[in-house]
This record gives sequence, C-alpha cells and structure tokens, in this order.
Amino acid sequence: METFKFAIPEESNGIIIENVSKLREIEGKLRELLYKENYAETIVPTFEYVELYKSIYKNIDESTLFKYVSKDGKDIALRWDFTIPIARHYVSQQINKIARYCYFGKIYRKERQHKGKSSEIYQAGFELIGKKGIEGEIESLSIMQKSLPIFGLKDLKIELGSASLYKRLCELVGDKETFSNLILQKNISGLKNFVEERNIEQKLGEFIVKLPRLNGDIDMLIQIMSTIHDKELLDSMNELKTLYEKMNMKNQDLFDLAFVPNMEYYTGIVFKVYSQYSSEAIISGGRYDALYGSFGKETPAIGMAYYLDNILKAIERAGEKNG
Amino acid sequence: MVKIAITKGRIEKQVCELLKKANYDIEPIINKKRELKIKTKDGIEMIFAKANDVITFVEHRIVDIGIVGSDTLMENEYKDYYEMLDLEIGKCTFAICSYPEYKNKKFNRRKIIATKYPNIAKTYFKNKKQDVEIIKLEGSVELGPVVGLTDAIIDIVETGSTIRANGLEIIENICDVSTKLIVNKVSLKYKKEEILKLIDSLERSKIDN
Repeated sequence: METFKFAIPEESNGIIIENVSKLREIEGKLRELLYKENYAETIVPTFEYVELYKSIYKNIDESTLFKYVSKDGKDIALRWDFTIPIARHYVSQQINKIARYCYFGKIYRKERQHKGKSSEIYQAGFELIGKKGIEGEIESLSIMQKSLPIFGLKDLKIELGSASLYKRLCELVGDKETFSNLILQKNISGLKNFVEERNIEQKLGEFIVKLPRLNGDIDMLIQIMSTIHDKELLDSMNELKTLYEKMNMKNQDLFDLAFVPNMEYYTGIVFKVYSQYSSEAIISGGRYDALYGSFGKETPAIGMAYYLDNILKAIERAGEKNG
Repeated sequence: MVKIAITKGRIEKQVCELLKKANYDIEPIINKKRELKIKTKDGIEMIFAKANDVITFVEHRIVDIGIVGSDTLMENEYKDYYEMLDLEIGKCTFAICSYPEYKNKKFNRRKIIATKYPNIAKTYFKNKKQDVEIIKLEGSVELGPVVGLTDAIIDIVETGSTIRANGLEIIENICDVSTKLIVNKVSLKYKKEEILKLIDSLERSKIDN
C-alpha cells in the first residue's frame, strides 16, 4: 500500500465532517439576514495577480501567499481576501451609487507550520460602498448586532477603535514606526521610555503612557475625554461615544484607544467582536475610505468579515464548558 | 482565574523573586517537584514550559499571560499578542562572537555562522548588506568556531565567561535581551482587571529590585 495516499499537505485543513451542519446553519442564517438587508451575494475569483495585492497592501507578507506562475510568466496568488475584488468590480462597473455586497468562501493565507494554525480560512462578510459618515457605521454595525444572536454565544464583546484617533496620535508624537509598534503591543514599559526620551508635552505624555490601559468600557471613555484638549483627538473619541449611544451598545462592550489598524487603508471607526471561547477575534472590520482611491475612484466604504472557523470553534468550546 | 505560562529554569527563578516581593504566594512553585501545572493561593494557575512553547500557549489562549525572553520573541514569527511589560530580569545581550582575528579577516567566500536564532542572524547580516550561510546548532553554539565548523556565532551573552574560556570575544553587540510579560489579546478583553493588577504589582517589585 502506498502510504502517501493517506497524508495530506501541511497547508491543508483536512476533511471536516463533525460540524458541517452547524456551519451551514450559521452560514444560512447569516445569508438570510444579509439578503433581507439587500446585500447581493458575490462569488469572486479564486486567482489574482500577486502584483495587485502588492500594489494595494504595501506591507503584505508575501510568504503568506499561495503562488504559482501563469503560462504568460506572471505570478498568481490564491484569493487572499474578498475586499479587493469587490472594490475592483464596483469601480470598473462605474456603479457610482450606494452598493451592498456580501460573500461566503475561503481565503488562503500560508501559516507557520506545526503551530496548530490553519491556512484555509472560511469567511463570510459584507461591504457597504458609497455610504458616507455615521450613517454607514450605523447600518453596518446594526447588521452586525442583528447577526450576533445567530451564534448563540454568551458574553460576546463588541470593541470599537478609531483609525483617525491613531493617525492623530502619530501626528502629535512623531516617529510613527516606533510609536505604532509600542501601542500595538500595549507596551507599558516601552511607552514610558518613549515619552521620557522625547520632548513630549506633559499632558499628552501622560495620556500616551496610559494608552495600554485604555481598553475599557464607556465610563473609561467618558472619564478620559475630560482630560483631553486636542480637538482632533476629542473629535475621534466623540465619534466613538456617539456611535456607542446610537447603537444602544452594552456595558460589556469595549473601546480600545490604543487600536492600531492592521491595514493602512482603514480611515475611521474599526470594530472587532470577541468571544471568551476564541483565542482571536471572531469578527473584524471597519471604515476604509482610502482603499477605493487605489483603484482611481475615491469612494467611502465599510466592510466586515466573520471568521467562521473561529466562530465554529467558539461554539464547540462553549458547548463543552456549559455542558 | 489568571493563567500564566512561565519559561522554565533561570527565568522561572527570577520571576519567583519578583512575585515574592509583590507578596504573591510562591510556595507551590518552590515546592513543586515534577508537576508541570500548579495553582497558587492567589488563584493563579501556572504552567512551566520551554520558551517557544510559552508563546504557543499564549497564541492559543491556553494561558492569558506568558513570561518569556525577548530573544525568543524576536526569533518567533508569531507577534499577535500584547507585549505589555519589560520585567528587566534575565538581562543579557545578543552578540556576534568569534576569534579576535575575525574582525580583520578577508573572506573570499560566504561567512558561515552558527546560531540558535536563524531569523535574528539573517536580519543582522541583511542589515549589514552581507549574505552568510547559517548553520543551526541546538546547544553550546560556541562549538561552531571551536571545532572549526563556522567562522563566528550569534548568541545571547550573559557574563561572557564561556566565550572567553574558549578564546572567543564579542565582535559586536546586536541588541539587549530581557524577560517580557506578554498577554493574549482576547484575555485582556475579558480579564483586564486581574491582568493589570498583576502587571502593576510586578512593575512595583521590579522597581524595588
């Protein structure tokens, strides 16, 4: 018997049987909700030019791409995300009005070997294109809120952050790279040294040193706002507060004032949803008004991705814990 | 309950000192024999593991907090955690070490470097605009030049006595190394008070150190 027939490549997820019906049930309910909200389902290409990803995601880690060389000698990658093909479609079709799309499918990102990580990531998500300002945030957040009961997970936390707050902080502080790394890590020791070593105005310095701790509830946000004098910082925080109030968010929901966008294209509000049964966020998204510009047409947009593998795992764990 | 993974050995002992100063119960750590997992009176669950595994346990949220050297953090590709506190223990330096003649030696081939940290070594030489061959050794990296397998080593140097005892010297310091406290991102969302309480206590006893 040829034993290789029983091995699968390291990158492969293997066959899934156990929770498929649960996955389809969640997916079905999400689809039903998104259809009802007028989000048109898209099926996007599996193969894209590597060049495309590199020109839009300047910091993309190329080693995460599954690549091959096409017959005309171009580097091709397996689908790395859903946001780019949808943006390209919108711009190339000259749609010019508010558009709503959703998607379900896998993206492929090579993970480190033997770390218990998956390179096939099953996502659902939606993109709201052309809707400016808080109306866009409200529409997308309310869909997300409506979708949460589908998972039947208790103690979910929605977290709001702000890319504009982060950008303003970088402006005020300078040395964006070092500073970004430190707040990304919520590095208490590092930020203390950073402020001591530089000539930073005292009040701002105190705020920066506190940043790692500023990952809390609405009371924390209101308290910290009373100590801030910079108009732009205050505007960004006000935006978070307004959204919290308009969305009737709950006491358990969070703000992360030390949020660092993982994609350069995020411009405004960013959201994540956490479950205590998952080691990573289960939903992630935000406003990314800067992306469409790279296709030559400035358009406001908001998107959100559901990490269905993480959600499924969380449901499974919650079931084990609560019997 | 907060769960912590601590790097076994030297770091474990030094963390114990810090915890003791901060009035935490450390009896179960001192009295443990072969158990890998213990609970303290303060309601902290601890596991003891090798440095790389500490990161893996934090990554999968088996534990909320990991205590691990920055050498291992730098070498590891996984970075999706909060690196909240520098415990300033286990301090040492990353350095390139070799025989004194290495400095002025002309190589008309690629240099060969022994190290336990291939990623750090690669980055160091890339920044020097040099291409080298890296050979990974798992222990007593000094053997590389001593047995004539490699031209130099990149390793952490604490007192430098092993280096000197083998006729080697530090050619250049690369960066400082110390022990860090890392936190799983989701853990901070759910156990912020407990985690910050521990961080604050450790920070205070660190300053008294």
